[in-house]
Amino acid sequence: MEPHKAESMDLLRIEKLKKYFPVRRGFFQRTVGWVRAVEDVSLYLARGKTLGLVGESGCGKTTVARMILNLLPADGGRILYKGNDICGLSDKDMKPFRKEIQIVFQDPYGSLNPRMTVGQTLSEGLRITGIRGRTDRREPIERLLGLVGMAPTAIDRYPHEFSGGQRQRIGIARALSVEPALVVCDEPVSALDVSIQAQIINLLKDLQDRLGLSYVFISHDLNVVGYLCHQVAVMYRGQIMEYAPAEKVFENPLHPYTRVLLAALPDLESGKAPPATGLESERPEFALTPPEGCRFRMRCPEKHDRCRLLNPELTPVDDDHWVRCWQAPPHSTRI
Amino acid sequence: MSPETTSRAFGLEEPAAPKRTRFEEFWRLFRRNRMALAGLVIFAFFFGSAVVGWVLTSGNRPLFDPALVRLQEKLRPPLATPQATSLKPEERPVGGRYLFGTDDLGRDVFARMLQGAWVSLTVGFVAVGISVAIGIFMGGLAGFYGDRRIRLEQLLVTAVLLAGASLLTAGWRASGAWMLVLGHAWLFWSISPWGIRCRKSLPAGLRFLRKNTLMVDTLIMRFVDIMLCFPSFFLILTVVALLPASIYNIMIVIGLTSWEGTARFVRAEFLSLREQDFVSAAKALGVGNLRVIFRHMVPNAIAPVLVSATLGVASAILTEAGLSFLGFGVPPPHATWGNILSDGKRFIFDAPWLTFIPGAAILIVVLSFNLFGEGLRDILNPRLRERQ
Repeated sequence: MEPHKAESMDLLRIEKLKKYFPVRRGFFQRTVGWVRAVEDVSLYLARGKTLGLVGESGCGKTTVARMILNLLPADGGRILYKGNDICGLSDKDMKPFRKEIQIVFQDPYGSLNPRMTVGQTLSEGLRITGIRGRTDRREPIERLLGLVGMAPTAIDRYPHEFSGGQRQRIGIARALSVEPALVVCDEPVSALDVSIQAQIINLLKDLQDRLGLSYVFISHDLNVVGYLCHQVAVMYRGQIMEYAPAEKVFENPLHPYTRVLLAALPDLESGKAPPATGLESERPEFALTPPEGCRFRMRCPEKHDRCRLLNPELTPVDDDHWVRCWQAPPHSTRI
Repeated sequence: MSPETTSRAFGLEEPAAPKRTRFEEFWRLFRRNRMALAGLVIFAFFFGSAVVGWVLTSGNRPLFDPALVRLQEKLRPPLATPQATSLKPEERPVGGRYLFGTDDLGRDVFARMLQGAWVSLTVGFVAVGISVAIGIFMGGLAGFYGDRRIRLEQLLVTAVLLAGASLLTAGWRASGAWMLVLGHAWLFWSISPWGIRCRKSLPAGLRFLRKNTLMVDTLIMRFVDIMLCFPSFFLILTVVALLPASIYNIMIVIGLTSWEGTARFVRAEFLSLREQDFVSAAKALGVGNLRVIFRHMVPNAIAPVLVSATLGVASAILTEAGLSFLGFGVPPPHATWGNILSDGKRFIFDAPWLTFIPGAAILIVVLSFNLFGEGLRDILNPRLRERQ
């Protein structure tokens, strides 16, 4: 079952995406097992909206992002962009989609070429769009810098002369240089300190309003996601646990994992630290081959016998609210 | 505050650090490293004298003639004035003195040193140029395309071509030529559209030809390991003994046997750069592979290569001097530091300057390159900077 209906508005539609990484050991590098990094991930994103992808470290968020950009080949499933399957396209066939889908990286230090000036970095994208000649590029580069709130004097400077927040703006400008419709933001603010985070988030929101961008916004910070996203998907160990509009996830979380995540948020008004969740830390041996049954059951506060035997499907509890849990209430219209 | 005004207000601030170009920054650090600076100065002096020496010792009537024999003036010490009155005016040394003395044939050692400087310089730079070019190519191939696998048919075609070439050089002309023709025909067939179509629907019996074998990385890096097993000086000696003696052969042979270190450096740098976000970003923008390699990866991988190249120049000069000393180097009428040294060793007690002067020159130049190279390494590797 798909967690969404066919809709003419959708820009990106991911169906049953799968990625397994081989674990190799020994002299001959034999494959001894598989890390099931992403399994059965289905999502969709409407034009001009933001899809939040939330989850702890190592749950497969970044793997999904890299597969959307075809930087990493998928092992199964489909990624439909404007109705075209872009999974496993060759470099040549992917070319027209490169301009449409862009990425903003987490680490503002590693994401800019240290040997290129800001102008040269932004020219790379302009060259792709067919603007030749140095003088022709100057004006669009200055416009791009203005768009992300940087002074045009930045053009001849090198990345090491800028702070983390400024570099992230340059990274955003580079993504925008080919005029994309979809920008995948892979934890764009996690490496920045809190005051700068707010600026970048506001910049992203502002750009969405002005340019009609769609975002896949990856984060582990629920506050940020709640502020920015229209839809939220909560991931755990490579699977989607809950998928719903942002307000439903925050006001009516149905999956125990989502509830635990929300309970762990510090409450700013009362000033109290969140209560201990009682969530056990992960057992590393299960990272390789998750046990049968629900992937969250080892840490789930509400686990049942059934959870050990069978992995629940992502099922609708409402028209736009999907949960992967045996405890979830059934779809109201089906009763 | 609206989002726009916030971003404007915070974003327009200027970075506080003074603006320095990459070169100014480099020069500032370099000047503080005395040893490296001394190395650079000596290198500049050596470079200058080699170029000047080349101009002054070549041509029909050179100012300093390294080949002019004055038997009556043999083994004169440095700074000696010519004694024989029988010298023709054009045979008298420039400035009226033999600056570095004369050798057993009465040739001016200063003129011969000047000529030899040019040989050392060109051998050092051309050999290192060749080795760096091969090293970057092989290392880049292993680092960027290393996880591709070579198909059995590709190995077979290469084997046929190599076997053909070796048969041809070994004297079996007809069979060698046939194998070469066969290999080329196979090669061109497999890259033609017709061949590509045929190979997609190979019969089951021939399908083993498309089987994947080694990885590109394994092939190149194990070849590097094998090359490093040979003591390179003896490898060069063997090859030089088989080839006609000429300065170009020496350069090429030294270049062909010293690229392994560069290849390893470049491969290691490429492996780490390939995973960097800015390379992913370039790929996501749709930048082509070649542009990613040459615009984004090579400039970031070049620093250790530059260092090893500088050190490589020193070892190439030393190797050439060693070969000349053993008599396998540049053929005799032409002077090199190595063969001046070699000629002088018979007179080491009567005329010590004949061995000391070229020996000291080799020592100083090699030392200057090593100091310069190590200074470069300290500056280009920020982790070593704090030690100074």
